Amino acid sequence: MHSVNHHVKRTPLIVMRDVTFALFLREIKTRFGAFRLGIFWALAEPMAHVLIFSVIFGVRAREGFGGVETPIFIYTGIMPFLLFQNLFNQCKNACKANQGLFHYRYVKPINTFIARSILETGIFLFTSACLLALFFWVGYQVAINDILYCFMIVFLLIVLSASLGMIGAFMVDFFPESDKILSIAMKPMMFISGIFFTLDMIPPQYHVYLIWNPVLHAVELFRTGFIQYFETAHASLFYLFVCSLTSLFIALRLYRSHWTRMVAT
Amino acid sequence: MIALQNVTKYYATKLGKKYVLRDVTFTIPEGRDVAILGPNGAGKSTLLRLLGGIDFPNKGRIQSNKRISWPLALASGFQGSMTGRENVEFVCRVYGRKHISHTCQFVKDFSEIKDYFELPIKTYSSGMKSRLAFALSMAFDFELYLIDEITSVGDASFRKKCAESMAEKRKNANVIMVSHDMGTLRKQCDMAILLQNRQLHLYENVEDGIQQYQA
Repeated sequence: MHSVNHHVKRTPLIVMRDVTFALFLREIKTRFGAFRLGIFWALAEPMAHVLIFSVIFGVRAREGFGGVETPIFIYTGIMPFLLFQNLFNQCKNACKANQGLFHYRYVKPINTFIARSILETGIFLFTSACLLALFFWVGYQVAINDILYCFMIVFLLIVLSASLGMIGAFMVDFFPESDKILSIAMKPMMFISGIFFTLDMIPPQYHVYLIWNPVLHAVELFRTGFIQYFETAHASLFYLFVCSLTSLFIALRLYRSHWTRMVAT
Repeated sequence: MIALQNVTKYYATKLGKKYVLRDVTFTIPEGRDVAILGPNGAGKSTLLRLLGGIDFPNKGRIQSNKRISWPLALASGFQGSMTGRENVEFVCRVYGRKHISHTCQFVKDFSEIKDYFELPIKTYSSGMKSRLAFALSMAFDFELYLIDEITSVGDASFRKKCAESMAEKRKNANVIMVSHDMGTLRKQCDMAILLQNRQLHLYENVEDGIQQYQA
């Protein structure tokens, strides 16, 4: 009987990498391992939205969409929105879902947030590419106008969503009831984030009810990067940037003072 | 050596703060096998978790220069939705282990849970869980093992194997042990800490500690 042991002294950064990687693999397995249809489900959700709205608006309608057909227009809205929604929910529940693993002292809450953010980003990139390939195959024009700009918006959106998710996790920890409030608050997000409309289609007197929403800004800005002739008069990169940075600051501040609460059972 | 400096630990409950430790400054000496004694609910398991770095004091600091194991308890440290193998792989990765499949084989053989190793932990009986937990901890070399009532696991032959394996480990390692079985503590430990009235009391001799505890 024997056991092989290597007491390599690891630097904190290496420990961080090892733990995050271990959690990342664990997340992949639970998401896609349990039922083999995991990848299919990841694709089905955006596809269903594209199909439904294409039926409503017509497959070849181009009016007001900056010169692209309905499916492409919906696609450029639903992809960033799903990224936001999934990342928010995944980060909000990151600690609870990994509670048993904090039994090992190197596993810290921040690792679960990072692992889930990486996974959601990966799923976003994968499903986006798959659907784009599908559009191309069906015969739509899928040229991305400014891919770097799109990546920048996606990056800001990731920071925003993960930070809000972290803040949500702390809210739920402080006041368990707030989980219900958060899920109610998330319900209308799909309808006010500009997935099937642009801000310019809305009469200006109603803008005040919509324009506070950073996800709407992200969606509009993503479209300006994606669609060549798409114009937005109201979305502001600066606003999205400030929202992302502010929420990141609040999330990290909360984390710094209260992370041990997440570990304790 | 583990040093506690002005450590206060409490749980916030509906009935106010329930203190486990209150402003405790204490050093657990090096090279000793320590029994932790205390009445039910005094916080012995919490103390082990604090020492193991997976729970944290509300005030004060705990410092150590040892490689300390996770607390070996009856039913914790596993994610129920993952299989035994996935849990073991996870721990290997977290601890930076290189030969993961090797360790998996060792744990599977040692725990004797056979093909249950490939099934989710939530399908395990509590006995299987603790056998897996013990086997996993035997796959790693720590300088200090934290043991929470796990010594009486499985049938006679498995217990014998555990004792042998533990004896092998203890050539280079010490234990801090919580148990309600005084016989085990007498046999395994050479000093005692009594957790009482939110303070720690040190006894150079286990027997003295047990007497004080039972008094």
